[in-house]
Amino acid sequence: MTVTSNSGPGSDVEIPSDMISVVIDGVDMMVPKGTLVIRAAEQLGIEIPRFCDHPLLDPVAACRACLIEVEGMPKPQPACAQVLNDGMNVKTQYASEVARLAQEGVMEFLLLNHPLDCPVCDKGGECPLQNQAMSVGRPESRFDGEKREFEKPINVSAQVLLDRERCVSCARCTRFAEQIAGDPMIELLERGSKQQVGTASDEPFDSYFSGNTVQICPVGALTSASYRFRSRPFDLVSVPTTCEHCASGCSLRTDYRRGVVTRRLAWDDPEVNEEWNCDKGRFAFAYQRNGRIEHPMIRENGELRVASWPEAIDAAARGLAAARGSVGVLVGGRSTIEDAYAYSRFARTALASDDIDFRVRETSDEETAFLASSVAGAPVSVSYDELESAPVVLLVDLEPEDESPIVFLRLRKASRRGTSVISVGAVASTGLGKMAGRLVPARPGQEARALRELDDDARTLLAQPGAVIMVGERAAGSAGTLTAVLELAQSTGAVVAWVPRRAGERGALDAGALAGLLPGGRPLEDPQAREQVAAAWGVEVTDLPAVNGRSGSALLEAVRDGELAALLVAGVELADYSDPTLALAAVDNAPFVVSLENHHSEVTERADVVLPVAVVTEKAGTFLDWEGRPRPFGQVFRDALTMSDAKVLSMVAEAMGASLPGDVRAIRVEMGSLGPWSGHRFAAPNAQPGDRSDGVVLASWRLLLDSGLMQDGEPHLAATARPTVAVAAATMAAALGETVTISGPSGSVTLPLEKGEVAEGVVWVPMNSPGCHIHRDLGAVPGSSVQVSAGGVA
Amino acid sequence: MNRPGIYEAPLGITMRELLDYAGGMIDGRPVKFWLPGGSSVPMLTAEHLDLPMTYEAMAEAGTMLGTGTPMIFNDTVSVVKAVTRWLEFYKHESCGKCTPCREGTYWITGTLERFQEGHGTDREMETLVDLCGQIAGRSFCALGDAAATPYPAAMKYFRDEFVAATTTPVDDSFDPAASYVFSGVAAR
Repeated sequence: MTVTSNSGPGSDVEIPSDMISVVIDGVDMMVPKGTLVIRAAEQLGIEIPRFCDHPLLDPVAACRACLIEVEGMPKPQPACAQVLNDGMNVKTQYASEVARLAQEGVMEFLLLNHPLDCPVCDKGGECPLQNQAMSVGRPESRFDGEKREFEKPINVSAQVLLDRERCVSCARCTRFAEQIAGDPMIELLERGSKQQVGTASDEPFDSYFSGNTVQICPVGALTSASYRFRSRPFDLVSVPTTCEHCASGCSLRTDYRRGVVTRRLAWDDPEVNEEWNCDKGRFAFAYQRNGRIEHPMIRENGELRVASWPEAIDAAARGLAAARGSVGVLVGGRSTIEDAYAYSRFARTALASDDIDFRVRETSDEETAFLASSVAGAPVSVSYDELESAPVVLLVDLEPEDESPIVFLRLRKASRRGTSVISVGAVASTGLGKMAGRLVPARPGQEARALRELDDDARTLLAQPGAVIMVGERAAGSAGTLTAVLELAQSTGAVVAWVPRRAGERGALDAGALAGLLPGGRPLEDPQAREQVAAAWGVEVTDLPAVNGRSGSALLEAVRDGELAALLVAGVELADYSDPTLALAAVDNAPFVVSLENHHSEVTERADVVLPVAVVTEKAGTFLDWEGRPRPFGQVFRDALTMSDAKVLSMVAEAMGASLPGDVRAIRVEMGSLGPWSGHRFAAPNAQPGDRSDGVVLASWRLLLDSGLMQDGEPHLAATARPTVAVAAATMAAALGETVTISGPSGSVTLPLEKGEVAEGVVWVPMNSPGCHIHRDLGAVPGSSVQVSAGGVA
Repeated sequence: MNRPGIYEAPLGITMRELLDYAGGMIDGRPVKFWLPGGSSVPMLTAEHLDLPMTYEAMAEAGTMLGTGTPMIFNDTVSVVKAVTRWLEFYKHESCGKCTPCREGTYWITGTLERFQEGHGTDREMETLVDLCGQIAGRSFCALGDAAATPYPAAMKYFRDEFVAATTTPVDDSFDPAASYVFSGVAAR
């Protein structure tokens, strides 16, 4: 429907009914109803000064820096909060003396109590206050009095520091904490000129998203302990990158100086991370420099020794060639899609093997079938934006705040706009509370039953258009869950999204780094798929492995039992397997082990050839986020001497007489030439739920900040991690007291016990946090039966 | 005045008549300045005592009826001191949300406190007028507007007292003891 307006530019122009006509500084323009003056002015290239304004936060109109004149209004109005009405005539500082003087006056007031310590302030050089003081401020101060002073700095958390005298009370940080993160632990305290940001004395700002407040602070009041006093903005080189920590796919800006990364910032990507990221993505990058393997190594007389690249490549090629047709390949979950593709092709051609898996965690045949049938090579089926408009999002074995933080932020935003969030799991976490979600309690291992018996309210919501089911990687450990998820989607029409935790899993799946799967979700045993892939790889169809290989624990067991002659391992931490003992035995028993790694590990200690590879800053690549959206990134350090996995593999391949593209562009071209797969797909899984176990069962997931190796070397970040505690329902907690000892097949842990909304007969512990690593310490996985007893020495 | 209290009167009554209700000024001292309705309206002087207290007449005189709680001061009271007290009140009441009120009341109050000690400057006297203009109409709520009111009106009628405060402490010009009332106010 359109209406004709007489007030717009040229009265014969048809104006859509949701658009209005306004004038800003004499320029006619049309904007959607509800547009704020400051946003419309931006579209004209008119920059109105601002501090409290932030496009993703609710307007607060506190700083008054953006005052403009509106015809017919007696006082200047804040452009950040003034909604445009049809026919409104706005004059900014460029067209109105009233606006110019108002802005100049506010700027004078803002600088009044500001220390003007730009030369020693981290923000100097990229500071909105500094910049806008230059553009709209007076050249000299008229203030002769004494400035406000505060003790500096104070810790609002172990990571975030606050210099209160620099603060202009814009409330961006406090509004972010309340509106976006849902962690309102910082607030404006006191009043008048004593107003200051602060925390309750016993509750620091331990938010997973606290670093965003440092980034959006328009002055130098908030700084991070890790970056404070490290460099000046104008000495930094900035490169757009993608976060390597999880499958959220955040766009980042990596800043470096003289070959050293000094900080990482959330970059603006409205379709993915908006302007936010989590503290792990922001602060955890010291691992990239610390403890790197610098040279290739080969084992000689039982000892590893440094070797030259040609010698090491030759040793790897000879050993792998000798084992051809009998090599297992473990890709890890952190490869770029290009590197994973190189492993996929290398395994099927140079190694003539389909024994390959990228999953370093609990797996199942049911999950393999689920991924092959419903995820691999599929186009984006659910996007971040669609989460926002979904009537309901059902979470299954997924804890977004810990396992995919940007999914959490989007779901929280969605829930504030009316999306219902329902979680099928054992624990109603604080994260679920922040999403106003409700728990459908399920004992770990019994999620499938809970899904089949889902209440009518949830089913009705799921039947609405746009409904989404998000299932996490932990579902692999609960028999029948993924089958039940697909059944539920079928019966309700909801769309399923699989949300792995690691950044490389979705890409590795699409690259075919999984037994039975060629790139793009092509079944290995499908003749048409084999033809396409063989043509792209320049090999005969008969050269490709004929039958599906082994994956998951079957692959590890085969290596342990001596059924394979060699193992090629890339970026794998054995303790991450749900059965680390099995994984260790496999590596120990493998006759020949090649490890492509950047850090020393239990694998490199046991490897026959160790080939150092690049970390994300030293190579270009692409991660697929949980949506399946490609997140390409460039090379930060262009003169890095390290090589990507693909490059190293291509050298090994060449030494073996095979060919493999090692260049990221060549790989992208080759993957692109394969195109999407439209043929036959794997059959969907059909697994039955396991029996209900008696006694106490374990619930667990990995906390965002835990013992993960990629968080090494960041003590300030680690200090904001959640404490390692066990959580149980009130009745169990009351019976056990303040401390609980939990015992599994391989040991026990003693932890403080807290009560929470937990399913009956379930105790929750973090999966891999200081003092509680369930795979190794307990020999347990989520769903395992454990013994609990009161007391013990925590 | 002798009988402070609550009086009901028709719109258009004059302050002189209201003062009669309240028993006149203590000791018959002359009216120096008065405010029709609280410290947030501009002050008037003895020459305005016969104005009808209507919206229009008050607006014409450059002030407002405000809250309807008049304040009347005799000739023992320093205007500089009265304005400083009011600004201290507004500074204390400012919530701190918006910049003009938070910082403006801080700046003006601090400056006026120096005037009170006899340390004002001619330049600051003019700057303060400017600052009040930078608060009025630009704060989030009306508290800023109110805080910006007393000084410009005081300067309009009693500029000399601010000039004196650039050299002489206010308490030297106006003996505070002369303003004290120890007895003689009728029971309310």
